[in-house]
Amino acid sequence: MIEIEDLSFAYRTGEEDAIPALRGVNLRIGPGQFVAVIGHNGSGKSTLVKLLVAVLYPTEGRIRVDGIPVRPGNEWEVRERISVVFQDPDDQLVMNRVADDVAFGPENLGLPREKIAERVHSSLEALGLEEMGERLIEDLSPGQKQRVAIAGALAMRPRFLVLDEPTTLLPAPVAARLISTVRDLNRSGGMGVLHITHSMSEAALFDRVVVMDEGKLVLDGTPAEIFREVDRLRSIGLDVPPAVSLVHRLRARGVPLEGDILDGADLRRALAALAESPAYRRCSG
Amino acid sequence: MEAGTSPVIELKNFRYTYLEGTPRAVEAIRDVSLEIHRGERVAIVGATQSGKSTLVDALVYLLRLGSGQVFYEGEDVTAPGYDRGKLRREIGVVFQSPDAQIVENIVGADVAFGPTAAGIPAEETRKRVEESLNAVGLSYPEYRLRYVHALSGGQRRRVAIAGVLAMRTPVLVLDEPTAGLDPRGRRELLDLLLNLRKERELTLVVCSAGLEEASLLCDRFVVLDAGKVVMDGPAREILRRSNRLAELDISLPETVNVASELKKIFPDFPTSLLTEEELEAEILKHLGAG
Repeated sequence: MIEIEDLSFAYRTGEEDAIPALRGVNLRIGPGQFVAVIGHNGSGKSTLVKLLVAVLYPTEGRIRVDGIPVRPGNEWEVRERISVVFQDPDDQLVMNRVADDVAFGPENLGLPREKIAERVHSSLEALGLEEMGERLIEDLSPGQKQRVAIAGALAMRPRFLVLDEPTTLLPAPVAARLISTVRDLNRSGGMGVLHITHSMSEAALFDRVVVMDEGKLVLDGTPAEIFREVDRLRSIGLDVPPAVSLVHRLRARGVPLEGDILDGADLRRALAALAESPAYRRCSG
Repeated sequence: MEAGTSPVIELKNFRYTYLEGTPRAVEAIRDVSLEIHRGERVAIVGATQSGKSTLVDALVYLLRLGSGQVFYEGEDVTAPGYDRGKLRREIGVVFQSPDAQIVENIVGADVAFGPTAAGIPAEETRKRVEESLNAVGLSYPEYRLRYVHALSGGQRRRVAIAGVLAMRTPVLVLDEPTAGLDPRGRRELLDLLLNLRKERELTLVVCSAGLEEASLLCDRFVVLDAGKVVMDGPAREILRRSNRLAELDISLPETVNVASELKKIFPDFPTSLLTEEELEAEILKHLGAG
């Protein structure tokens, strides 16, 4: 469980030009939850990530991870429980060979050699990289590098995986495969996932969406609940997935589409149902 | 392509191998020839490692060619004695990372850098800086004295674009112009580029891993795979081949993805739709006809 209470953070605290980045955030993320965080550039998402893994410490308020308070002196205990993957894999890949990089974290935990080998093997396998352990990282594509970075995070066997815009530099089909792999890890291992993204369509794939604006948590709910707030989201520089926007238009034109529609497949089902319904036949007949 | 006009940029039999002659040699481009005509809006599209960045670098001659030639307005730019400075004054490039091309600390100074280096008189440069900053939506009085490093990523990208606009190049090359921007930043930048496209007689080259932006900004797609051109034609014709594009790991506009779903229930539903308005109209048509 991640528990965030009344969390505030300002860069350059105490100075005249202090910049508030988070203002009174309250958030609880249960074990195994699959959560997306959205917000415009500068809304405080990345600051939240840095506070979660004790790169920064709160100006006010508290964070606890599985009961352990995030504060100076506890950083390693916290980082055993939460692993982070950043936007640019080149920022966090430190070794030349894929397998060595994945082993880097567990080696630093001081685990015995056999345990490290086992973790490297299972993490590479989970990301579909089992054939690539001997490859040089510099020869990999950006999508493959991002998988190596996630394998490295996974080798720490964290309770929570935090992904800070890991798909920004990837083409959509590659990003979609990555999210689907992370979903499998979440389902099979019970690992919680906190995924930060600018893609509304990606956020719609999660169980819960948290929306940030100007350092505050402004919306929190299922994708269907969140993406109902079309105008609100647009007013804070965000958007809804294109299928949702389209449904919004169609409903405004009087097309009675039923249910929560988040993507093209949902829309296809809703239109198929509509075409079958007696009411629709009456209208068009 | 307009018949009878000579191309503004022409690439002939271009091949390129990184680390040539070493065991780790990688063949990036295998024999590509390409003509870009004045006023065309071309997207060079391909997944990562398809060769698109190498191709764009070659088009603007930022790369010593392995084999092949680049012509600008019919002149071989690789020939000894060709005035490269002219090429830089004619082709403006906006790189993916604005930090790769912002050279000054102050916004106004950075935008003035190109014109000043090109020997444009101070008064004319000042005018161009004002005009360019306003064009990218950074008001001149408000932003000219700001520190570049205190701006957001989206704002820095605008500064980079303003710097290129101040050169008034007839050809504009943009590498992944919206990568990393949030939805509002992306929408604003697209509006800005669409406006420029309308107001100026620009030849536009957009390099991208996906077709979302490209489909709004460009009318011709050149699709690369493994260092070869595998498709080249009008945007809408290429978008019809959505299955092939998906195989190449090229992201499709979300409107095309939605339309492809709807084709499963409306067999004659067109998939090469570019805007929500077009999709909406097509759905209403199909419902009405049902």
